[in-house]
Amino acid sequence: MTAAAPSPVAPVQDESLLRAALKGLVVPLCGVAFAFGVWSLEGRVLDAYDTVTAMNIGVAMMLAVSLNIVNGMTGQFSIGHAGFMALGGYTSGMVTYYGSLLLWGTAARQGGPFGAGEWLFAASCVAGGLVSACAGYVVGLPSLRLRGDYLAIVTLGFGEILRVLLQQTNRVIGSREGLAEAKWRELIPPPVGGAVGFNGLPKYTNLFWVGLFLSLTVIFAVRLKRSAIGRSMIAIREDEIASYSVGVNVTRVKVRSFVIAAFLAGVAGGLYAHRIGVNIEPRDAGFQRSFEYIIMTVLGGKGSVTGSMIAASILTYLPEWLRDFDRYRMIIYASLLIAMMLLRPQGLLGSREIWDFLPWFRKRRGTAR
Amino acid sequence: MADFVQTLETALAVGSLYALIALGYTMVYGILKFINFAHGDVVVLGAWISYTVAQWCLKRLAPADGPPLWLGPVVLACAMTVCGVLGFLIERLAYKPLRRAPRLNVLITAIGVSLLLQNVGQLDAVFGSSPVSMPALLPNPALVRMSFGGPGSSEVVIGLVDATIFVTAGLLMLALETIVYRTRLGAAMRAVSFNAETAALMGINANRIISFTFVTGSVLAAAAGFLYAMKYPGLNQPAHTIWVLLGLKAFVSAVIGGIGNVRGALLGGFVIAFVEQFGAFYISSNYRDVYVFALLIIILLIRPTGILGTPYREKV
Amino acid sequence: MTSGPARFALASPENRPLLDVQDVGIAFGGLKAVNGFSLQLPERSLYGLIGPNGAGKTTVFNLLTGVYRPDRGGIRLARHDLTGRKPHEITLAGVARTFQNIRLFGEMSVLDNVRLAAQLRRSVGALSTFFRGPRFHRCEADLRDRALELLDVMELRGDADAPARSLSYGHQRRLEIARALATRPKVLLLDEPAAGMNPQEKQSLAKLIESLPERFELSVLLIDHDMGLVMKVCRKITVLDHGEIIAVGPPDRIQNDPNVIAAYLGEPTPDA
Ligand SMILES: Nc1ncnc2c1ncn2[C@@H]1O[C@H](COP(=O)(O)OP(=O)(O)O)[C@@H](O)[C@H]1O
Ligand SMILES: [Mg+2]
Repeated sequence: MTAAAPSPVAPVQDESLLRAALKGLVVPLCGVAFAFGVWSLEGRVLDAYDTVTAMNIGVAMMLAVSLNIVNGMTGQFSIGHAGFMALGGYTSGMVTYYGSLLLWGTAARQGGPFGAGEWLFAASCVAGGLVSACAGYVVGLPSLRLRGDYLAIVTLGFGEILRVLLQQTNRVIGSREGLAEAKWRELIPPPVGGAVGFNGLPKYTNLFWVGLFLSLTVIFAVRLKRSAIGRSMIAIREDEIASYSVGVNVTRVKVRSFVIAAFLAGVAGGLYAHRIGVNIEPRDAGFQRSFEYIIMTVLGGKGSVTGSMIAASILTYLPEWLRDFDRYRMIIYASLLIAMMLLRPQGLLGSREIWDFLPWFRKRRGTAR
Repeated sequence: MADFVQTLETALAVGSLYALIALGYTMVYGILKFINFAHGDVVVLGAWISYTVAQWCLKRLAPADGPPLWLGPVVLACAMTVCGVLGFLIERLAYKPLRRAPRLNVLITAIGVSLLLQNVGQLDAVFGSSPVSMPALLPNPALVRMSFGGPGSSEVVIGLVDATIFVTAGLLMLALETIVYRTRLGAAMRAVSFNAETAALMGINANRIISFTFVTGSVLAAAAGFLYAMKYPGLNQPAHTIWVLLGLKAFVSAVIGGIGNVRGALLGGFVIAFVEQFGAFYISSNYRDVYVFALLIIILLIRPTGILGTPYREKV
Repeated sequence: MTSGPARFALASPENRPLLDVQDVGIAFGGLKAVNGFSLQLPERSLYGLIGPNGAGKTTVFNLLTGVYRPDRGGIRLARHDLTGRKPHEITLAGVARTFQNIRLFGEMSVLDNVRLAAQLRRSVGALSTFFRGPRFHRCEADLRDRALELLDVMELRGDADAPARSLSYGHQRRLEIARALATRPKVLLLDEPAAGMNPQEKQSLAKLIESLPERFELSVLLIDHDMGLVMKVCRKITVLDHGEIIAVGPPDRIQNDPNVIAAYLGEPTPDA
């Protein structure tokens, strides 16, 4: 690695820049390979039940990692993350469901692996992310004026308002004809099922898509952390006044972190809504769910991407281990949260990543990079 | 017109409950500068303890002609005592070790305590996870009837239960106001709230004051829980969303009134109740929670520290 | 900036101050923390700001950097009107500072503390952050080089990878200066940089401060309680007491000013 050159002040050679840039593309490609890899396990190593668990873990990881961008890196306390997830889920559900109705006259799955339906689904996840990002912008705006705990309340209010609004939505329309004949009052508020949830979504989510979006999320989060934007975020967490005194546009960075986190949560929401056995409901936007993600980020460590991932998988896998777990789930979560704050407030990994514990890596990552 | 007055009356009753709960949030925030998320759960506990005690007494006594009049105050006293002790314990065990920790950590701990209380309360061995019906401890005759317009038009009724809520809540708030603004203890509380370090230098035992604040807040919360159960006898299980929303709305009251400010909590409680009740009646009751949070966001954007809050400037 | 260059073209560059503070003031509640403060800071100068504790020196810095908005008065830096601007805009315009009560980014590495400040005028978008193209790498490499250069100047190179909070007190103060310099300021505000340093450290700090104007093409406004340091380093000094200016002049005149001596009465006045 030329990057570990003994005299870092020497100008970096163009050759190494080119190599570094290539690496910039290779890593995301590895993410794609990873997605194919986990997908190939589906049905072979993993039975249907394991597959669902694996998808749950993947989605939970995406949500924990994205929430950690706001809560852990930027240090803004958001308790409305489930709201962004639900918004993304509903949006992406609308795209696939009504898109399928309009395109193919049926909401059922269309085409096999990588068929037309799956591409519509992938696009719908991104659409869900974009809508969520817009909401993230709106929710992030008050953070310009509000400090810590007030902001927490606003984000909590956002999730709750969304939950109530989702309950008041219209019935799902079942056919193309119904859609064509629908009156305005059946379309606004949008026909996404009201209190019973959005029924009848085609179940496109599989390990490939979860693996793909998860690895892209993780790569993005890790790269963000080691970039100019990430540094400004962490600086705001450490000391807001010092940050703006060295020229960080605190407002913009905070809003940006909200937008990024909301986007990623929205994509995860799309995956969640189309997972087999799930019926996305207004309750999914509520704060109880947001708390679960907060617990994951706290457990993982502030700003630690890999820490959040570990915590997300532990907390998602725990129920499979403990019989009767569901009854005691929240008690265990709550005790974990309190114990963590009393005994190890920095979380499992602190703000470090798992590879920071490897001496070889630490040396290489030193001043040189 | 009758509708308007009736809505007003409900808003006042609900507002007094919000205000009672908001006081606990605001006092703790005033002194320790963090949101005691678990406060709302103390209210739930107050309601459920009232139910348990009332049920137990009624079973023992099995009175022929309705519950005796002294039962209400006894139940209230029990609830207040248990919650007071609980408030003390919560502070000692969960918050005190974190006195020097970053505020975010304390906030997260508070969320943990809140979740713990809710879900422990919901265990079968404790209160169980199904709704119950609070026995009526008071008859509810109409005390006041007002009719507007001619015969046949609807009338406004103020029952004994609502009157009890006004009187009890009013007395408790008066008591608190007296303690905070007219006693040495209150002066010490305000001193700690203004600057804990200076107060400590002046010989005030901050830990005692903090404990006292938690106990007082929890006692008021218990009273609010009791009164709530009287007004709405259908008690939901402890982790039900409705309770969380009750706690949140009370908290929102404290915030929009100006958190840390005792009078602000009262003002906020009534403002929130008015917006909620009138919005529910005149616009649509489906969106009552939306009005509350929308109001919160609007007020915070206009006055980031609430209506009566003092503007905050961090010392650099 | 709407006033346009025409108005200033008339003034000759020599007598136009770099930083021009006119009659600023701020009150906290009833307390007039700073009242009618004015200051003309020429280019490449070393200027002192002294006064007893609570005189309002730090508050002046907070006003100059936009942390507080002045109740009245105006602040100009060369051709920019800085009055009421946001702190990050003021930093961008060329005013940087250190803090009396050190405010480093404790969890970040020493290098990153400086690199963050160095990235002020270089922005990379979120997408570029994800794909890490050549532009991203070139930018990061530049930032790193510049940060390391400054760490060399401050003799902190050896600690580059350590978290900032692990540094000793004196090192933390130096890191604050390095971080402020990384924003390429035209005016550098140092708030008690020698506090907590031993005599040796103070001496090398004095040498360093004296070298700053030429080396980095900036002016320094220095607050410190060590009169020896201020008198040695600064060409001109303003004395504050109870928020008001009680004396302005070169060190030798300040030292013998009866008002100043009276203001410091009860406090030790070294060298006086
Ligand atoms: N944010 C603030 N709120 C209230 N009073 C303040 C604030 N900042 C400074 N002060 C007061 O202004 C006065 C000047 O303080 P400061 O500028 O820190 O003095 P110093 O000259 O020691 O740096 C002090 O009395 C201080 O208490
Ligand atoms: Mg000072």
